[in-house]
Amino acid sequence: MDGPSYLRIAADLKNLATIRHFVEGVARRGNGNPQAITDVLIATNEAATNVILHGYQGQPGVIEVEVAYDQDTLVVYLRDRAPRFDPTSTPALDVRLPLEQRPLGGMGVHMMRQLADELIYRTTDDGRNELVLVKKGVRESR
Amino acid sequence: MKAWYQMAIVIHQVQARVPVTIMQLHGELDASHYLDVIAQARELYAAGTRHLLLDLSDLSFMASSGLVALHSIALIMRGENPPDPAQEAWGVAGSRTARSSTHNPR
Repeated sequence: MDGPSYLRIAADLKNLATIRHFVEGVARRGNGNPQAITDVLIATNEAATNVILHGYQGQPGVIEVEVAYDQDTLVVYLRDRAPRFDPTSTPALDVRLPLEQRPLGGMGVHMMRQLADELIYRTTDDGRNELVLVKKGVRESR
Repeated sequence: MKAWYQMAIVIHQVQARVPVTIMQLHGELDASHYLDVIAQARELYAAGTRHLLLDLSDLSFMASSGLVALHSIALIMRGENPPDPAQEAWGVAGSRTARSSTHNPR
């Protein structure tokens, strides 16, 4: 596995772009496929947004982002100390509903599920939330 | 490392068979900006706009919050009054302290 790259940043919506560009930089330096990287960026952005809005709910906090390649697989770890929030446990969204009947929101978790090959939520030994996004086949042959 | 990426909203008016308002979005549309886009659409509708064209060709990124903006704008332009997504997500003035069953993760 390539050595992980690490970002620790305030849980603020204004930092979403910084998180995306951090993940993108690590992924591109590892010679990742651009389309697969875009999928990871979208999924990571949704996960971080949920941490900020639904985890910390506007309260100050920190998000830790760790990115690493494991052969051709790109793995993003998002950790936070917000109250427990497991996005993988939310019910599936019915995307076939007409616009008028569909609730605003709810697409983020759907997009994460669609774009990541694996989505794992767990609590770390020291009590932090950890969401692991796994995308296979990201690395192009070297 | 770059700091916060700005998103710009540019409004044009053109006269076709009907007056059309064009809203161009430039940059990256995520949860830090999507309320601005909805607010702009509300202002345009209140000012009389009934034909709105969204130009997203210069958006380099759009998150699900951008989809919420598009959904909201579609409802606004139909004359409906969609709920304020900020109220749904944060509670009033961001003061919600407990998760509610109505929380709808994006």
